[in-house]
Amino acid sequence: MDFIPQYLFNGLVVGSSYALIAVGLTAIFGLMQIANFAHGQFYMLGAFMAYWFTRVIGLNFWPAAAASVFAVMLLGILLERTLFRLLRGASLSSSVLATIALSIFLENLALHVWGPRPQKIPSPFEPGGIEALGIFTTPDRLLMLGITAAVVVCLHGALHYTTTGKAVRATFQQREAAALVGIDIDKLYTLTFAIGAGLAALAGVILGMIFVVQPSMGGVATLKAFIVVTLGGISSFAGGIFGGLLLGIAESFGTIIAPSFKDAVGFVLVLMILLYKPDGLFGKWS
Amino acid sequence: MVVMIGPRRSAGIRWAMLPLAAILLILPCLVGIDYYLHVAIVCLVFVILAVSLDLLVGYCGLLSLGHTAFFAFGAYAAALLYLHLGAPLWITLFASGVFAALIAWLLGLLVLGVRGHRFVITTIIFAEIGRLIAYNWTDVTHGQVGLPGIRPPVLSILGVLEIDFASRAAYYYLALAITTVCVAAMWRIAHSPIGWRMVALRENERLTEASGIDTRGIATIAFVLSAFFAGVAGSLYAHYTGFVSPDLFYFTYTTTMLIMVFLGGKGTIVGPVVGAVLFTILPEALRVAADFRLMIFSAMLLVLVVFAPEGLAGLFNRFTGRSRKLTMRPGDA
Amino acid sequence: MLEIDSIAVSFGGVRALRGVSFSAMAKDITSVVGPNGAGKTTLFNIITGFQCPEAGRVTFDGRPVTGWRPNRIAVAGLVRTFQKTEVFGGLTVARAVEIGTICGRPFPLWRTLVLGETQRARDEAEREAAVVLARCGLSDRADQPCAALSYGEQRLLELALALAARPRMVLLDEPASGLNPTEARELGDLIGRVRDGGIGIVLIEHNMQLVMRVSDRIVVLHHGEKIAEGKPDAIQKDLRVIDAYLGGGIRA
Repeated sequence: MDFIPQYLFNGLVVGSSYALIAVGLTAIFGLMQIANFAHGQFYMLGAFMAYWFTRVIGLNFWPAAAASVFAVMLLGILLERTLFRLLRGASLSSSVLATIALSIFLENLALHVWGPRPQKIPSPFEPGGIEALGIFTTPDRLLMLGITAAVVVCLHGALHYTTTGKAVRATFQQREAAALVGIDIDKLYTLTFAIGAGLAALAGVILGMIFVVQPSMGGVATLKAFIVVTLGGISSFAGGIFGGLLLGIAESFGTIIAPSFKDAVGFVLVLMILLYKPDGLFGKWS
Repeated sequence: MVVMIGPRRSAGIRWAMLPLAAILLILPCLVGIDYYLHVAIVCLVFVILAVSLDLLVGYCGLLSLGHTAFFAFGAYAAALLYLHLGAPLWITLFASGVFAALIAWLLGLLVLGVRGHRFVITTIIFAEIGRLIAYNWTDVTHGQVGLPGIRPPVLSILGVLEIDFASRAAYYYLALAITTVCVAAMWRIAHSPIGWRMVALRENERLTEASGIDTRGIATIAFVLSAFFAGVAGSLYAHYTGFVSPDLFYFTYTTTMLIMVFLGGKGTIVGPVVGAVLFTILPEALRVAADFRLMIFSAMLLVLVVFAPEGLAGLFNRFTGRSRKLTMRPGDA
Repeated sequence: MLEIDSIAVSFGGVRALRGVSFSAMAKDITSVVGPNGAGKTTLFNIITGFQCPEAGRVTFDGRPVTGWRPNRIAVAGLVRTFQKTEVFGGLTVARAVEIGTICGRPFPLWRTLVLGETQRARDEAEREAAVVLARCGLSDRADQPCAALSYGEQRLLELALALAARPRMVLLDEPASGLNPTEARELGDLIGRVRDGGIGIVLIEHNMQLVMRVSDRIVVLHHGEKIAEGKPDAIQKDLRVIDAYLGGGIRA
């Protein structure tokens, strides 16, 4: 029983990264009605950019992290202005397939540039653990939690207290009406996309520092993000955050059964949700 | 054997079919190098896979992205039946198909009640689960190592003539026969009232339901049928390569099938066939750029989906001044 | 033929329908009217299986159909159209109506193996579709894609799709909405002809001229309740109805 807090904590750390990625996904889907199956690649690229800035360029962690997030946000803006603009109003099939193609492209690009071997981002902290309240952890894991908490607070504040934030919420609910009221949809989409990409990149930078960086992490992240969104509902940010944390914790406890069971946990949860709360023909209209 | 009905294009297609059939039949003689026969056989397997996927994606409008799982389950079924019971191809073909169909039916109970991104992600997850099972259930599947030693059949006619299908040319003809039967069957289904219902489902699900058509039922039929043929393809593949492994569950296989469907033109039967042929030849032609293959292919898929979603069939129809989807008269290939 | 008994349903705490009961005969055109938000489309959704009621029963042709799936109800002979135009966008008009005719004609898988079965089914569908299209005046648009039709033509197409299913009764949800007076009058004539052909009709409409002209009976809903039912003349004079329409009165 002693180990429960530890597993809980570990789960929260990983879950935080899921939450950050899922929030961006939710924003893009809710706002632009595009299921972005390439979203996890922002996570991967954030990590690789951090690796590149630290190991190759030689920056310290903090400026490298900032530069990485910024670079990925730029990429996000570029993609939004080109591909995603074309995908607006497209059928779900089109956006799913196009973004899957994009995802494969980006993953193989990374594979080509950086190779398949896992890399490591140097940590800015002194090696060694911290022990508190019976939980053993490291500073970088605490950083992950702290950053996520800060992001959640900022996000809540921005969405509820700034004009842009309110515009986002309005557009979320009623796109045509929002356009009529004079909200600049294009700028809003670009901004939201950039922030979504940036959050995923941030998660990538920190988690890449805690664990490893490799090209395949993007695809996995996308899968996890969609699992979160399927569990928690794709129409609310809160759902994305809580869903992400929940998945992280569930996976953490899943490793008690077997280490390889970690990934299967998410799958099992999705199947269970479909059994007990399916979105059917009638579910849509009831 | 493939019945073409309908006044409009049948004449032209009928004439094109004859030389095509002739070429296909004498291919082993035309092609000197054994390797190209190998490519042809793999191509035939993918023809079945692409057409079966098109039933779901093109006709029903269901984006089932775990399709390779049915292929892989079929391959494993064939492997296990052969290695443990000595079942020859003739039996495993059907058994694999039925096994894959059964799994599809069970999965369908779960997944065919939802649409949209939930459906997509669940089918993707399903293939991943298949891979995890194949990887971890080492007692049965030998995990990562896979199951080798699945041999092609030996046909004994009246105890006098013996054909050993281990020869590539012989297996080519076998694959050609099986593929033709499968594609013809799927063609007939797609052009029957069952196919009409699938198209209706794709065009407007709510209206289809209101028109007295059991949408859940037709989706299930399509799901099960496409899985059946994917399973058959799995058996065909297993007996040819002689080896199955969890790799067969990888998403790259589904991506390949998707490209074939979109390249040739979804919602037709001819389209995926053409797409499969082209897309099997293309990677061979691009051997030089082997490293960049996936990048090029994914870029291709992206361009196709965004700019030419109707594929080659659509472009062809645009040039001949007619839009395929819109006419949709029965009898069009 | 169609009996609604004490239907009730609520959404998110709001009682959309409460205790609504009436019946519609096979020989009648029954119109369901009422101010916006009265629950008319919800009622249609419940009758045709797209929604489940919390209470009450729907009986059609003596059979209890409450909670049946929409396709089963359609096969039983009760077919509907939608308020927001629903068509098979990518198909031609002829093709769409052909698909409408296969209602209640199952085609099991084994039939695909029998040569000629598909052709037979196709010929039958084409024949029947041509008849329906002629009845609705859409024959000259048969080869056009559904999406290319004008709004009024699409509304007609919806009616054609409903008729193709060989119904005993059709429920039309605002068939005249968006039509100009000429089109609306023609629609009224068409509806009358359909009724004369033996198919019962239940209509949701806001176009009062049309309603008064074609209806044999009118049911008035307000805030989810039935407040009046009867022949058009009686309804016109009914004080409760006049009140519900903000004292404006219903003019023929």
